Amino acid sequence: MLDQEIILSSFIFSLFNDVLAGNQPMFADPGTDSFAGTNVMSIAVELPKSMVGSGDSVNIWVESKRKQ
Amino acid sequence: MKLNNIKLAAIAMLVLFSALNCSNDDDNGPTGPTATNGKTEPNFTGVYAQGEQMERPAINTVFVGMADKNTFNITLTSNQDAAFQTKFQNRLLALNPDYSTNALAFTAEQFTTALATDVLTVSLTGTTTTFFDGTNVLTGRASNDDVISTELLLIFGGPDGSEKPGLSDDNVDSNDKAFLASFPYLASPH
Repeated sequence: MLDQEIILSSFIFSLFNDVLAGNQPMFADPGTDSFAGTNVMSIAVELPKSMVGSGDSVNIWVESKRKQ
Repeated sequence: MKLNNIKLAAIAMLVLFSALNCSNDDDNGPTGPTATNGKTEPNFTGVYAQGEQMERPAINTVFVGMADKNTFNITLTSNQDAAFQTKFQNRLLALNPDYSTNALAFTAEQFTTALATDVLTVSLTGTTTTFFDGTNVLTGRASNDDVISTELLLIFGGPDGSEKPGLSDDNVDSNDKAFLASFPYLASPH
């Protein structure tokens, strides 16, 4: 769950934005991974399921906070 | 000339006192409670404000307009639906004016309601952890799930995922480096 930046990096970010802006009619095939060969700072945390509740499913998200 | 020397000396003294005017907290050591091992832990007392929140990849990137980025980042998760669902829906219909439903059979309102609260739903009971594999939907995610193509498919693919094939897949199908099978599960650095 904490590797979203890695996944973000595995697609064509500028082309993605062009498509969203309507400047590109479609994605190229094969695509180009413009983030290939680059690293991403990541924090990986592993914890037992029992620590996040006992229901069928949980919602997980990440926040960064700044001291006031 | 003598006056210049005095001036220079005065400037030197001014720089000395202003540049070397250190406070006594410049060692930046932790100041928090003492742990059981005797070490001083970080001091987390005080009031903290949310600076950024995210979970599902690229949701903020795609659905939040430039003018709202900072607002979205500091909006508490529990308030995101009320603050952003309508904006998300407008954005979805601007991106894909032909949107009817998607492969989850969600209407535009249902889909953007699911997206506006930017959290990852993780099943604690299922056997498969996946973003979307056609059967298991949002039971979590695996590192190698093609999440961007999944999101594109749900935005552009229509009810059966076959509409607008040029927009429903970014054609980048994997990370450029293999993910690890054990902790920390991410790819090792290049």
